[in-house]
Amino acid sequence: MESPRRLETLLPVRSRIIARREEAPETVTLALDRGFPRALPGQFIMASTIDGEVPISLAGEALITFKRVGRTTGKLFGLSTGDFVGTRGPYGNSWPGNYDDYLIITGGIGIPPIRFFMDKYLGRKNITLLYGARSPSDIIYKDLVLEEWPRKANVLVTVDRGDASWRGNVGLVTALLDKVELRRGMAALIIGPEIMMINAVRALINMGMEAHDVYLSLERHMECGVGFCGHCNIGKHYVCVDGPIFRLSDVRDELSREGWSI
Amino acid sequence: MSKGDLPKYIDSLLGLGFRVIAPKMEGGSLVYGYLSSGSEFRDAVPAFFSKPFMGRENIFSLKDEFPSTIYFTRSCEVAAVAMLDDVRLRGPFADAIYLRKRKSIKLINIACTHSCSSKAFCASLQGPRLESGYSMQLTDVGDKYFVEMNDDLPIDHMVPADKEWLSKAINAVRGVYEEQSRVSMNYELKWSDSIWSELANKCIECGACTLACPTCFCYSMDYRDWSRQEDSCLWAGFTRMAGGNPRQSLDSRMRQRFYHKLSYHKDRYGYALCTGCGRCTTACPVDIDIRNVINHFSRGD
Repeated sequence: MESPRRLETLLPVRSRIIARREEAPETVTLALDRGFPRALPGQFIMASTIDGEVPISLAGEALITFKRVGRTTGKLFGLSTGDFVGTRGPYGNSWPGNYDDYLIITGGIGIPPIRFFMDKYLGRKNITLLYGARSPSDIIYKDLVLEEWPRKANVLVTVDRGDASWRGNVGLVTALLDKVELRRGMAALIIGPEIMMINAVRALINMGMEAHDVYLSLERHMECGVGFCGHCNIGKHYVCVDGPIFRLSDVRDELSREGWSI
Repeated sequence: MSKGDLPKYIDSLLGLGFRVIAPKMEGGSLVYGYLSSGSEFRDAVPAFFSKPFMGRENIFSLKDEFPSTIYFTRSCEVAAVAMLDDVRLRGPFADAIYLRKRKSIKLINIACTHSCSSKAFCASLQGPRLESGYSMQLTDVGDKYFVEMNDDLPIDHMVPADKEWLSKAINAVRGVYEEQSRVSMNYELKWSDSIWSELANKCIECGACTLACPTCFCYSMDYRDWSRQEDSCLWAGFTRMAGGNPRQSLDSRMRQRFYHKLSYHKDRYGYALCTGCGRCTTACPVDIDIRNVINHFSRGD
């Protein structure tokens, strides 16, 4: 599998934040002036401050959405419009675009690369989106998820805990699968917290979905993003260059060995 | 080339402006270090090999000039560099810093005539003499070195050799094969095996094995100055993320070390990430021996 090589310097470039929007508690979207016009939905970039660098999925060609979870995401979260972010990429593979019919299962902070997917395919593909958030206020991209996407896709949203104004579903995102009919030739795209992904995989397999039509976006610690540093392997696969998106059939054994009960 | 002429040959390389890294005594220890004179050269094998990216490496050093450097090394190290080249240069991305450094380096293989250590098993892998990967190969055939040249290095002090010298050279390294016990590289690792927890119970997570290994390539960044240095998969922080750690247990990290070397790398590149140098076993303070792991999973042949 000789593929064209890119000479990689690992050096970030400076991108200016041209817009910043808090989507939910601890979760922010940054629009950057230097985007990645050739990026595909599902790819990630390495985003940095002066003293840290983390992989973050693209939510668009020049858009990242992330949750403050550690030291570097904390610093990135604290930046304002006009500040600079270091970026390099795009890296990794992308969601498959060769199906007509998609079932997307996502939860929590898994949704940004789905936004990029929707930007490209909404209205052009038959899409069912199941999205779970902790509470109504934790729903990311509220205007898109609750208003814009439902016009052209079958969008089902659920929350772990409702509030006074919530009229929608309450419960796990996998419970929404009862309301979905699987069709032949359908691809399932799964991205979210590990336990959600495990539950989704088990449910889909029980419903008769083929493992080679199930795609998972996986996450591991990375120092380079390009296959040099040796950190992000799952068995023989490197998440950075072989993923982050894998067919379930390709990683099932490896994930089982890492403790996924699938 | 007469053996007595090697120091003079090294002096002529130094005279041409090459930097020369070779075994030498430094502060009472045998190390790979920069020679200031050919007389410093020692025909012996240091405990650590200076990988082309050893130590802290600032990623902004891309702008630096890397001076042309000649390494006098052993087959385990020349073979290791070829493996590092695969990882750093032949994947989907090529490492620009590594490429610049690598281009500045020429490797001279000194074929070992005896096993350097009771822990070594290179005879079960690439052996002490190589077919390729070197700029020059020296084999000690008594009072002379048989020289094989693969590059445009100077040929001072050398005289043409006829074919019989090749068989003398092959003969000269027989000691390595006779002295080392063989390890069969025909093995199949098993995930569910008690050996992993047995090894994990012994391991003190010092990381000496991975640091001593000439093929271990994993690195981590130090963002205080954006430099990178060797990391060890045996350390819990290797895979730790804000959201959790997929290899929290030492059992799982022990598997990672050996599965990477003996299985994952083989799946990707077709060969095990090991040159049989035995340095990991020598460095291990609790006697974890990679040969025992390989033999444990031997298919038997």
